Amino acid sequence: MKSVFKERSAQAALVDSLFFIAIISALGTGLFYFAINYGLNSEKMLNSFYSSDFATDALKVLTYVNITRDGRIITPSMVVDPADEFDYLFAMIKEDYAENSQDAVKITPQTQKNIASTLYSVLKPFDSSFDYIFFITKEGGIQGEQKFLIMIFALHKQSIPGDKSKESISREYYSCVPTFSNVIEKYIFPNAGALDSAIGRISLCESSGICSSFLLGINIWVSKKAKVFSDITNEVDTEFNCTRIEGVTDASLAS
Amino acid sequence: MSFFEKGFIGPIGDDLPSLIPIVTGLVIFFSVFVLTLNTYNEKNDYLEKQIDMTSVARDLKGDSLLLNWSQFNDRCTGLKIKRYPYSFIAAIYGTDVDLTKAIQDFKDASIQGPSGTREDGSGFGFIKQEVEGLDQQSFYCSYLKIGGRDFSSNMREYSVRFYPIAVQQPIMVATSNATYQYLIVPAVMAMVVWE
Repeated sequence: MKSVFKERSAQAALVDSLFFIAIISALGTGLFYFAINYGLNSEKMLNSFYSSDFATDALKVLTYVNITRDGRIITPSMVVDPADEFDYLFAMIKEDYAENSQDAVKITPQTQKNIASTLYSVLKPFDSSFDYIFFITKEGGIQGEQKFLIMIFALHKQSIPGDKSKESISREYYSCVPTFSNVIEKYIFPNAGALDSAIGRISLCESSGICSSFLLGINIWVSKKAKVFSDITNEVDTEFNCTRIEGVTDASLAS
Repeated sequence: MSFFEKGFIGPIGDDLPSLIPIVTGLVIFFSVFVLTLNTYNEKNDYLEKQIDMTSVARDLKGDSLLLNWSQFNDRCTGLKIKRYPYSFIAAIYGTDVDLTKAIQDFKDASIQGPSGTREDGSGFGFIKQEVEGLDQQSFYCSYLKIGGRDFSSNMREYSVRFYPIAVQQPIMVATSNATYQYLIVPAVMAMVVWE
């Protein structure tokens, strides 16, 4: 009996070492998993700080800048003509609302174009990769019902869908008058992916002197091909009710 | 105890088959441990760099509006006394400038200073303002950590960010006697952080 144990002692040591390697493998796998995943959430959070800062800054800049009345962006190296008229972009929005608050189109096409060109210059570092929705909406009514004063939808679109030989992708600009309040939550949020939003509160007054509180907001997302976006900007869509802003393209805004 | 019993090779030789997995296990463990430690340190460095960058950018741009160069310079000077563990350069560009050249500009500006020139002889494209007694000053802020190397000699690992900002700028009016109109223009603050 004694000799049997002696013969098997080496085998026991081998099994022990195999257990040891199994434990080491489990520990190693755990460490490796930790190394791969460590900081991912923090990184994601920091990136979201950056992108929300970016969206907020874009919105703030929009409320500060001066622009020529005919919609030319002023650059630091520009030499302006004495006949040029300048104004705050925001003053133009206020002026439009005061004059047209009773009309269907409250913000004139010229001011819409001015907003689009200002956003084009403000979002320039990432201009070819972003789509966005800019809106001013009146908050109030039953269950937070929103009435949109203006909605500009900038979307990358394929020029000739289906024809691969001729297709090119360019950003198109739409002015939308949604017929119900939660269109952004219903169509944009689920389809845009990671979305950066900024919202501010402003006050606009009618010519009669009645002032109301409005929300000014922007949602920016990395451009992606989604059928729902093409459908939304299709002029047949009655929920978003979008029409293309004529004469506004990235090329025209860049020049 | 006899060394001449059947099957005995030696104190180590007898355990050799079990020693191989033990040594292999230890090698695997320490390799993964070192890898994890390196990754942990690298990621911590990266995250700290990002946090510093966000903090510096927020301090520099304030409420996203700069009224003049002096305001920018005051903010920049205020940042320099904070002793960041990373070096950074921030500069403000007009929206008509090609921002893909920002990194090269920062590299060259770290050698020549903000009023230097690109290879083609043109300026760096930073917004400039005439400041009383100081001539033209660029919206350029650089900070080198203690013992740090300038950006041109340490471009191995860096982070870049862009922020929209509005700047009040004297815009020349085309009249016979050059006059200026103070207007708020959209601009972009580019920033790079490195170790």
